[in-house]
Amino acid sequence: MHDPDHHHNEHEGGDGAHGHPHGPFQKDHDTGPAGAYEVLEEAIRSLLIEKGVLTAQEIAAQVDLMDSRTPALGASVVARAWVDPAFKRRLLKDTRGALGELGIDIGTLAEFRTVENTPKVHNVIVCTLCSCYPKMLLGIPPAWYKSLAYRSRTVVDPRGVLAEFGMELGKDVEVRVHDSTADLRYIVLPMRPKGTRGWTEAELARLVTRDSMIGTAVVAVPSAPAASRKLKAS
Amino acid sequence: MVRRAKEVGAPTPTTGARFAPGDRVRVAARPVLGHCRTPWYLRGKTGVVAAVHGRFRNPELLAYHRPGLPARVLYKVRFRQSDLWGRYLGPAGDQLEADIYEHWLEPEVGGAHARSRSSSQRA
Repeated sequence: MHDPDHHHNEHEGGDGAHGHPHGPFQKDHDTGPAGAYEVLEEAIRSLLIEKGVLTAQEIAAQVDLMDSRTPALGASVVARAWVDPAFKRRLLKDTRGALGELGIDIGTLAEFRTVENTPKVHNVIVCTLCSCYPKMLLGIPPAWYKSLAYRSRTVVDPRGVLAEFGMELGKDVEVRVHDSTADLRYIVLPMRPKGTRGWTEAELARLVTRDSMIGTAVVAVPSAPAASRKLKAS
Repeated sequence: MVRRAKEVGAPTPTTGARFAPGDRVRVAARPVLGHCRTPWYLRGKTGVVAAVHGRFRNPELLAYHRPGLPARVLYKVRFRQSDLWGRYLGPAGDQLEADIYEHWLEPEVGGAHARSRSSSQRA
């Protein structure tokens, strides 16, 4: 958002009177007067553009890239791992390489690891220091993932937090919390639910939720399977 | 492509790592000024190296626009929850894993008595 008093119509069309490209910048929401952080972000963004560090087009491209990443992408990876044991082994051993096979580029900002849920181990992901999240696979994190409550309570009382998500884990299941403290991002490979023998990869992918890949849910078959699946598929 | 201050790329092969999987380690209990990726709740705690992730540029320097070199070996360290919290509510088998840089890890030589001595050692 530009200050309306900052008259740009005098040099419409890019490289204008004060010698730098403004390029298009489209706000997603018009939320009224800017808050302090919004003003700060705009100031920094404008400076980066004016100093030639970034172009507005590059920023827009990055926003588009993040918009293209949704939990559906992670779900497709999980479904592939469920139907292809060799792929699953590669995913657990070399997540970057296995994702590359599917044409998924996770960029160079962080390494990725996949942790597998089993009947004996339930994994859950958190970032206590900030809000590290496997964005390149799951998109923008939900607000609760970034909340102080989730970040602080998941490490000290994971079973309590999981219970609030509706999960009661038996004492015979080890709960393994992964605090993404550094250069690695984690994704949970949930267990394939019972009653899905013979399902196609696409059908399986539709079952996989965002939360199941964070570890705050398990994947379940909807209670009215055949009918609702047919409906969703149409 | 957006230029970034920090690009890890593929980590370089890990030669000369001080610790190997299975080693018992203690997280240094020292304070730090500025950016740091070692959480407070793990400082002074003992765990076991579960994996060697590779070398990564030091985030404590990257945060201040320094090159972050030399790159530091990063480990996955596994802790027993009952070792982290005085009153952990879950079963004894519950664990927590975190990624900790080598310069924050000390070899765990003895029991709890080694704490004050080892926390003064620096890698």
